[in-house]
Amino acid sequence: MSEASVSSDTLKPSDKLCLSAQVRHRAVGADGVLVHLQNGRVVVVNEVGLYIVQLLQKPITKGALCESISSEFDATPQQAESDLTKFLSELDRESIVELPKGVDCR
Amino acid sequence: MSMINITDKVRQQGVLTDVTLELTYACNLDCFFCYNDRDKPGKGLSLAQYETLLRDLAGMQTMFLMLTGGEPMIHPHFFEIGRLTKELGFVVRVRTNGHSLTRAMARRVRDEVMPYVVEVSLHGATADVHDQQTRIAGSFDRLVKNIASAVEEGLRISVVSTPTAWNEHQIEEMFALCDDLGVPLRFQGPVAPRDNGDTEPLEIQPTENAWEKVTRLVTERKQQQDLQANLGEPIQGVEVEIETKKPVASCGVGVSGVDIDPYGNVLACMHLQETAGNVHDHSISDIWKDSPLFARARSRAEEAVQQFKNKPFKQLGAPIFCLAVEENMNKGCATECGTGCGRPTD
Repeated sequence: MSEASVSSDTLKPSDKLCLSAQVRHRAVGADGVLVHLQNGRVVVVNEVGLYIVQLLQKPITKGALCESISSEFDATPQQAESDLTKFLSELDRESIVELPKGVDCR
Repeated sequence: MSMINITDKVRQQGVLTDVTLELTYACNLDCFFCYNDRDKPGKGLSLAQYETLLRDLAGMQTMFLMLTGGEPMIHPHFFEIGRLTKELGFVVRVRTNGHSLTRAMARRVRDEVMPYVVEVSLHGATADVHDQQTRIAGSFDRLVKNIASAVEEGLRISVVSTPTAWNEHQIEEMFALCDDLGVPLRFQGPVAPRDNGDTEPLEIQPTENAWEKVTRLVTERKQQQDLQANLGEPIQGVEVEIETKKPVASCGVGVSGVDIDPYGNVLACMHLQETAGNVHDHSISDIWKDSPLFARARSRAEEAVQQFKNKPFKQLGAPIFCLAVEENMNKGCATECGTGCGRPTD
């Protein structure tokens, strides 16, 4: 994990994020199941969460995530940004998402 | 959503979540009680076929993959297959006898396969007892050294043992050894017939006292672990599963997992030898979707549980009931050859 926190309010739209290399995920219907290899924790996310997780397989900026969510789920940019920030904080708490420093992302 | 809900959803949607790949029946040890039928005929899967299989499984959203054998690490394409499982995002468990898991190999497994856990087999707390089982001199010393270096290299190691007549006097010592190594120890059993019906391994079935001792020690250690966890000083754990719900089946066979043997046969369980199809001929997706074998296996497990209405599972002295053990016990011998292999002689 790099110095800046994913959950920080100071995360800029241009900051790139990605899934931790320690995380594996699969879809079960519309939901997503994530397993963290280091801590063994299992996290289940809903359809929107799965969509975000799939986008996070490659480094992507927070801004691009917002745009994609807003477009895919017909949400206002403000709503998408607000919900995304909360969701990223939850993923950060579970060590699922990282700010890429190089080649660590899945 | 809770895990209970997601488990229900997995079942409702028929997702194949859990696959065991027996890469080979070959082994670098020679365990007396090995359950594999090393004479089983078949054509091994090529690396290209494993690649197709793994890509199909990833597409089917299979999450958990176990690489086992025989000894999986001596398969000529173990690392190619392992790298692919990592690339395709599986949660991988490697089940090995640990004989090949030198420090250098542990590093490769960590970096190239990145398994969730590596399970190794222990057959005693001293070289004479362990090596009696493996029939390879020096295998105990090598295993202990390999476990220690693998832990140092950052692999999550879990130790599995089966109580036998040869090691039942060392159960406490095996726990102590694993505590010293900083790895959890789990006992499984019973000693079972070979998958071809050969009952020779049953000669070293332990006494019922062995299972009572295992159960008592696991319970005591769990209590100690809980106490120490509350004090903020967790000890190296013992895997304990306490089943509080009344089981509806004797095991999870046929629900969301399959075994694929080294020759591509898809089985409901690695010890139930009836095949649902072969990946030489059909895709795993078609076999999982179309074969009635899995539903039949599930029905058998549901029926089997009926004989334990108001009593705990018990089989050959162990606190479990396994359909495959029962089936393989009763395969009998097709001829009077005396080997017990269950297959006609030429």
